[in-house]
Amino acid sequence: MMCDECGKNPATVRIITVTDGAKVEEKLCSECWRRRNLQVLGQLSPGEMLAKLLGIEVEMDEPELSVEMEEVEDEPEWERDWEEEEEEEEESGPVCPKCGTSYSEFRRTGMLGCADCYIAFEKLLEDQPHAAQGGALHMGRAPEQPAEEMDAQRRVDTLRRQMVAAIKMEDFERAAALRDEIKAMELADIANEMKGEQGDE
Amino acid sequence: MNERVDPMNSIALSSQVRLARNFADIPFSPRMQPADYERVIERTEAALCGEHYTLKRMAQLRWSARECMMEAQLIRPELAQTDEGALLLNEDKTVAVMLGEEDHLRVQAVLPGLQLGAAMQLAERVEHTIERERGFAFDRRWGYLTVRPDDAGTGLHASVTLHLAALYMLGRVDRVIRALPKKDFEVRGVYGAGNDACGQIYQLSNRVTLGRTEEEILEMVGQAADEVMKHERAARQALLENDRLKLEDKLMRSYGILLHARLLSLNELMDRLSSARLAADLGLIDVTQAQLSSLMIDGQPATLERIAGHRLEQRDGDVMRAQIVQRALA
Repeated sequence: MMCDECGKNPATVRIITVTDGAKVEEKLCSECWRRRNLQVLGQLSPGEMLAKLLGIEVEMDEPELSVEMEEVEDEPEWERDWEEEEEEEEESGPVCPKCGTSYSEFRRTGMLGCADCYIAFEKLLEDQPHAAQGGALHMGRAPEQPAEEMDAQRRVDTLRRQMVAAIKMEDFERAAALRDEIKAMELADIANEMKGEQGDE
Repeated sequence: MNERVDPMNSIALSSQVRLARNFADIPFSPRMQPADYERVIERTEAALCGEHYTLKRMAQLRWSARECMMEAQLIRPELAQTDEGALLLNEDKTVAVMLGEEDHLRVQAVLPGLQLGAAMQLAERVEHTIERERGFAFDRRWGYLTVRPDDAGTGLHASVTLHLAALYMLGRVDRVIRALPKKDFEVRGVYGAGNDACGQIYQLSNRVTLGRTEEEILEMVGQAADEVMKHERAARQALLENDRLKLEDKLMRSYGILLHARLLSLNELMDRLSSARLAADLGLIDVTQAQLSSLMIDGQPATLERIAGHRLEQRDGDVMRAQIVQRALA
C-alpha cells in the first residue's frame, strides 16, 4: 500500500482526522508524515512550537480537531481484506511480457528478471532513478567496441565533463588540453559532415 | 593514473576490478531454472577452455571449502550460499569468474599494489573472450544490463584494498573516510563485520556504475585511494616525528608476541599482523607483505581447519594459529 500524499513510498502511518464528527482517513509514508508535522509546527506560535517539540500538551486553537495516529501494521481485522485487494491490484501494474516480473516485485527485491525488464519498466526506472545512478545515460564501452571507437558525440561529452572536473580541481593545464581536444574533434566532425553533403550532390 | 607497486610503503595492498555481465538469452537470477545455471557454466567454461582455468562447482564443495574461498576473497557470500553456482579460477588466482551469483558472470581480477589499470586490462581480456562466444545483455541507454539497476552501465566495480594502520592509531580513519563523497564511494572493512575493520584493512570502491566511462571510474577510485594514502602517509610521518622510539617499541613488542605467543585469537592475529605490516614498511623487520598477507588468510577459521586437516575447537584453533605464524616467521 502506497502513501496517499506522494504515492512513491510504502505507507507506514495511518492518520484519522475527526473534524466536526466527520472522519477522514489518510495513509502516509514516514517522510510525508514528517513533512506534515513540520507544516503543522510552522503554523504554531513559538511558544506552542516549543511546547509541541517538548511533548507538552497545549490547548489548540481548534479543540474539535483531533488526530489519532497508529501504526498501519496494527490495523483491525476487518480492514485487512480491503488491504489485500488493493495490494493485488498493485501487483497487476506493469509486468515484463517476457519473464513475468512485475514492477512491484522489483520494488520489493531490487532485482530484475531479464534483460527485457529494462524495456518494460524503462519509464519507471527513469522517472524514479536509483539514488546512486541519478538517471544517467550509459557513457562506457559497448560490446566489442574499444574506447577509441566510441561514438564521437559521446566522446566529446565525456571530454567536456572531464574538462569541467579539471577546472573544478584547478588543473587548468589539463583543462586547456581537453578543450583543444574537444575543438579538434568538433572540427573533424564538421569536416566529415561537409564531405558527406558534397558527396550527396 | 598513478600505477605503482611500492614495496617500501605498501599502504595499497591490492587493486581489484569486477565486471558484472549477463547473457542476453538467459533469464536473470531471480527467474533462473537449474538448467539455466548449467548453460551459464558450460558456455563460460567452453569460452575459457585452453586458458588453464579450474572449474569449482559449489554443489561439489563442502561448506568448509566454500568458507575457505570466501576467506581468501575469491568468492562472495552470495555465491557460497548457492548450490547452482560455480567459480572459474586461473592458475595464479589473479582472475576469478563467479558464475551464477546475482549476475550470470562476475569477472574479477586482483593484482597487488595500486594497479587498477592493469587489473582492468586483465578482467576485460577475459570478458572479451567470453563475449566473443555469446553476446551479453546490452542496451545503448542502460549499458550492460544487470540484475540490479545499481550495477548497470559499465557493470564495473573497481576497488583498492588499503592498510590504514597509522590513521587507526590516531583515531582518524572515520574522519578520512567521511571526507570522501558518500554518493560516489563506498568504504568497508574487509575483515570483521560492519565498520569494525579487523586488521585495519579497508576496501574503497565506486558506487556509481552508470553515466561514467570505465576510464573515469578507474581514475576516480585511483584518485580517492591516492587521497586516503596521502593521509595515511602523513599519519605515519606524524607518529614517527612525535616519538619514533616509542612507535618502534610498540611495533616490535607486538612482533615479539607474534613470534612467541602460545595462543593467538583471530582478532589478536589480525591486530598483530597490522603492526607487523607497519614495522615491515618502516624497515624494522625483514618480512614481506606477501608473507603477512598469506598469514592473514591462513589464520582465518575455515582455512586454519583445512591446514589442520580436522575441526578445531576455539582453543585448539588459537594454538594452531600461533604455531603456523611461528613456523612462517621463524
